[in-house]
Amino acid sequence: MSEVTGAVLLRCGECLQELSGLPDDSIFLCRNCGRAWVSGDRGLTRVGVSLWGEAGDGMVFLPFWRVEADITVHERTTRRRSVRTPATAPRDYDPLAERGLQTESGRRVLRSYLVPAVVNGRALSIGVKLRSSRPDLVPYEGSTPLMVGGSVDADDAVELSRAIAVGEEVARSDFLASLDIELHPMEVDLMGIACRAGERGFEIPGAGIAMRYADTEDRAAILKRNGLSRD
Amino acid sequence: MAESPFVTMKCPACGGALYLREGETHTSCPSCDSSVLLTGAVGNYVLPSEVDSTQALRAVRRAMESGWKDSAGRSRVSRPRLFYVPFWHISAQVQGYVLGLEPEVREEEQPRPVENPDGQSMSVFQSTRTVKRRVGVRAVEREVQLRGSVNVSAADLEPLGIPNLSSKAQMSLEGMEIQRNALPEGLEVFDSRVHADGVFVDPLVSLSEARADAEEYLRRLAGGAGRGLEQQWRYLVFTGRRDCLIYYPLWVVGFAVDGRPYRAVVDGRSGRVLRGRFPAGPSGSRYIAAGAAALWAFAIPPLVNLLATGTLDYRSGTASLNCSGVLLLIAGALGIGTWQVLRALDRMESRGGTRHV
Repeated sequence: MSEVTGAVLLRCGECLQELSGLPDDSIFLCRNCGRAWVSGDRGLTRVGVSLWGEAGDGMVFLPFWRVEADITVHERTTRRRSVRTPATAPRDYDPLAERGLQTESGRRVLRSYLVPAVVNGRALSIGVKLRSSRPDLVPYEGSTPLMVGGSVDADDAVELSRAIAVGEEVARSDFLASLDIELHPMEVDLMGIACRAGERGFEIPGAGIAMRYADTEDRAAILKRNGLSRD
Repeated sequence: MAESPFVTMKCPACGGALYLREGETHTSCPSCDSSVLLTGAVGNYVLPSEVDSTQALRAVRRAMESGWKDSAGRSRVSRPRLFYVPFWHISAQVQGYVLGLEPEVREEEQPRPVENPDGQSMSVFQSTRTVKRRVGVRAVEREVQLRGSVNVSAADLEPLGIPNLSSKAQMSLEGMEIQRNALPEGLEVFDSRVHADGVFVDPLVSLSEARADAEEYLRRLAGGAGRGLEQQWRYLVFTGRRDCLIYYPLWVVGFAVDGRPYRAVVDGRSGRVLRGRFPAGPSGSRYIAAGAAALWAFAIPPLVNLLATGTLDYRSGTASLNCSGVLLLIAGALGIGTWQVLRALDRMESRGGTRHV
């Protein structure tokens, strides 16, 4: 049964400005003081936010989670690209290689991940691409822009970051067989990035990456609230 | 049942009463006009009934007449009742990787031994056959990225004869607009002032149970990416979950034919009879009863004669035979036979007298 557990005033906890968003939004940016708030079971919680990019025609600010995390790879096992069976190539056959024999362990790194906070079916690919492309973003200067569509919560962002960490290991030049990885989030905050509403999707400037409209759940509402439309 | 759709809370700004409708996630305070976010709320939607009680009755009458024409005239129908049964609609995105080994197979022509015409010897190279040989394995890394949605029954519909939607059970519901995955068209936001007709059945399956069920189903769906792979290793995450409750209309019509109660369920969208028990009409039991009556009719006169005289009267001859022992045997056999016939009739009535839709 759906139970209403509380009523939370949708106002900025600092300046009491009314907050607005889409019906499924859980991330709100106060347009008066620029503070960001995330709704949860305990009401609105303040979360750090920074704004990047340049405003202009056809530009839409979209929220991204930045997850600073301590990654520990306990065990990484790889296998050969291909293995012949003993019947066809007895000299090439290596039963250990078929099971995956190259194992390394004990690697620990500190990494930063950028995850779309809008619901997007390709969030994992986008996250992996953002890790490798490292977009050159300039800090935003100006009045606080409208930023709607944020409905992915911080816990999901951490989960996605872990998947991106796995994806990075998969993307290496060898063939991964299994991975035992641990991710400890050190810092989780928001980044509002000005994206261009292009023909096919929201383009992240300087990264050559677009979040396709087809994959973005709330594309129509986001565009409408920003005074744009794409058929 | 959802008797009172209103929940009263206080506005966090002015302390005034907030009148919340079931299923609302945002509202505004009627006193101070502040926007209020409702935590823990899930959107409720209704698929309104496009069939009224008369149309539901007509559908049941047609179903009755399709089996036994006289049954509609002999039936006593009670007032149809409209129930809105709940389904959870859970959507989420599944992302991750499936790693494994893909077998490499090569097709080869192999000689097949064929018997020579002399029947004594075999020729090896006269014929060939194609065989698939596994020549090795190739490492595979596949990415999983899918957004899926699942409908899960939030109330037990089995008593109505309608199977439940869950990851472990039914994949589809025949005849209904709500199916395994898609969100049905024509949904309206639940508003008790508009949707006042019918009984809204409370969900018995909790949201967390429904989410776990949906995850199980989506995990299975995502597992398809690893089809044909050996030594699989998977890493999947579920994010961006969205949930809502959908109420689906069903008419339940109860009726009695010759004192026997029956029940039918009519889809509130299509007006079709989904499930039901209907009288099947007279069956073979009628002929068995007639046979038993004829047997008795032929047996009674000689029996009465035997009882009265204690003799079997052979009119063609002069001899008369005292058969009181035979009389008792015949009477006993007829008694047992009749009892068996009545039991068989009872079984046939309970089995063949009802038609299930």
